[in-house]
Amino acid sequence: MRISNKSDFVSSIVLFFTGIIFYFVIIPREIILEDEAVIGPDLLPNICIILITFLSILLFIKSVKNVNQIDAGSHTDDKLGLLNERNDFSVIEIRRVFLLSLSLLVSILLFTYIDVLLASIFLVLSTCVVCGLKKVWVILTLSAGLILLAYFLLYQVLGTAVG
Amino acid sequence: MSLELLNSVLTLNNISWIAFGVLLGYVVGVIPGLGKGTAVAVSIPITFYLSPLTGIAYLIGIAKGSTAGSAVSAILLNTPGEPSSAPTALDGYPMSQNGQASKALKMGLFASVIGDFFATLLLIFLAAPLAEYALLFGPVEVTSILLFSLTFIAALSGDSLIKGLIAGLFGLLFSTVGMEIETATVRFTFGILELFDGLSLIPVAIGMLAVAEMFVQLGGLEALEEQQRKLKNNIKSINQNISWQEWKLCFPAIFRGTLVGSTVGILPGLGASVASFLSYGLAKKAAKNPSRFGKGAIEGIAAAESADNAVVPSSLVPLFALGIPGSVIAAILIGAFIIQGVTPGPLMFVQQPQLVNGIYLSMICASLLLLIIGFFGQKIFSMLSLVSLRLIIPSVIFFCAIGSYLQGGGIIGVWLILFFGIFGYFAKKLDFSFVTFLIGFVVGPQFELSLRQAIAVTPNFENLLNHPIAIIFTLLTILAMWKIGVAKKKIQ
Repeated sequence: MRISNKSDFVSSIVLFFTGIIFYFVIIPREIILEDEAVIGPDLLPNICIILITFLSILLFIKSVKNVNQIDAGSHTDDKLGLLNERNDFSVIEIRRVFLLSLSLLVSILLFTYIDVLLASIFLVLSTCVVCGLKKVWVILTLSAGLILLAYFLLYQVLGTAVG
Repeated sequence: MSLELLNSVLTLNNISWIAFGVLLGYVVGVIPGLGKGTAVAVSIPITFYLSPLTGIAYLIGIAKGSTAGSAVSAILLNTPGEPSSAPTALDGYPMSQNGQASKALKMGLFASVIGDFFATLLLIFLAAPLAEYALLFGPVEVTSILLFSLTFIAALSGDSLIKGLIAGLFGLLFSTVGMEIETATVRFTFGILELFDGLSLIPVAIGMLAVAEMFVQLGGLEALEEQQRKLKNNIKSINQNISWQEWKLCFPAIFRGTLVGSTVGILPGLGASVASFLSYGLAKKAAKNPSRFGKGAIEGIAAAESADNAVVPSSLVPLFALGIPGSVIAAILIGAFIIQGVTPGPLMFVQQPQLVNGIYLSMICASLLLLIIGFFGQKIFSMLSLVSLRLIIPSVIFFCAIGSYLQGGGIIGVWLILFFGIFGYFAKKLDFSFVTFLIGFVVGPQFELSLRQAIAVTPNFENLLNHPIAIIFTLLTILAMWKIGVAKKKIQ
């Protein structure tokens, strides 16, 4: 037995444990049944989680094939790999995704604890840096342009406010 | 058509917003990596400040514009703005390489407008009669139809039936967050007060579509820039007209493409990519000399683009007639309808016929505006495809944050786009259909309600026999899963 699809294999394990945690820990804790209703509010969440767990087992089984099957299909897999370049993870991509998520997170915290303007400036500047913009005048022009545009749109056109 | 309706639709304000929507959509479509889903999701918060008719028409304008615009980058850069424009690139890019870019772009636009226009007419003639039947359905029938739609979409989106079903189930699960209406039980709020009202569709859609797509695009920045550099060196601005001979070649392809796109659009879940590839394949099969395809056959562009654009209006048929979103655009439009206090579905034809007719007329206006804007803006749009994604991503992320703050209940909306952005990124990379997830999320509350009602009215199995429509749809669900599952296994 060998893993034929690594991403499906890992996904199935993660999903299986997510299902188990939801069924035994999160659903009982987060849906407190006060009355004995005929159809409880936990019906749909339970159905979903049971099915997700069951399907994750199927996905696991599908992701492991015996050696002969892999060898027979290996030629096709190579071709598909070229077509599905978008589905491959690269180190640089993961790093950028992490940094962009981090800049969004920091902006939220700045917004919550300090000021909306500072949060906006940080969000645009950090996103520019994560995207690899190097020219300072481009970064500054883009940041100023976006913040002014947002100000004009929100405060002048729509008549609303942020913050 | 009444004079009152014409007066309500053909106002300067309404036409300006539709034109702005089409223009914005076109621009977004031209820029590789920004799809119509992203554009519509980010624009929803603006519709809160518009009238229901103007808001919906504006969003539909964006969807139409971006579908047509995605052909530009496919033809010039060999990088489709959306996957559904991939077949356009097969012949469009070779034409562009041969110095016939202008001709290819014009045919792409004309085919798009024709496909879009006739599919809009189909929506107008088909939705109302279907809605009349839908009004006769009870909870048992609604449950079975929703189950069928969701399974069908899950089965057809992506490569794996299992992963499609998991994505749909996660959508349903996330839709249960917040207070349950019947028993007032709070579910999955983790003590966060802002979640008591449930998850708002707008931050979920913005996170899953826009933010996640930007995350995905971060990995391909260098490859896209390489294509843009090549185009910069080769760009030629010769104006070329399509000859009558070429039109004669393209008419059957456009007709076939419109028919394929309209049919595929009505069926939930198939999507524009299936339509454009199918139409392209049929055009190649019907050609006298199929070997021309892939080397710059103009009818290849006509076939793909007419089908691609016909999908947008026809995918609104299930939404208008049954209240079931058949595509990601339809799912996001539900959010816009809800903001405006309108529930899409069969009752809309009874309660707000003026609005429905207004939307139809606005859609026809959008088709005409698409032709005008696309034709006169061709050169500018061609230049826009050279704009670097390094400038686009910060702008999109910034406006995503503002939009979700405005319509997502404050800062919780921004937290949600961060969460669903990461969730959507992994879903996209691992091929768990985000379309199925979103549709599951949108139909979740209705599904839960009708499921509860169905269980209440059919306490035992014999009662089910009184609902033949429900039985048919349940059997169809099983059959579709089995057939599609077997077909996918064969492909793999």
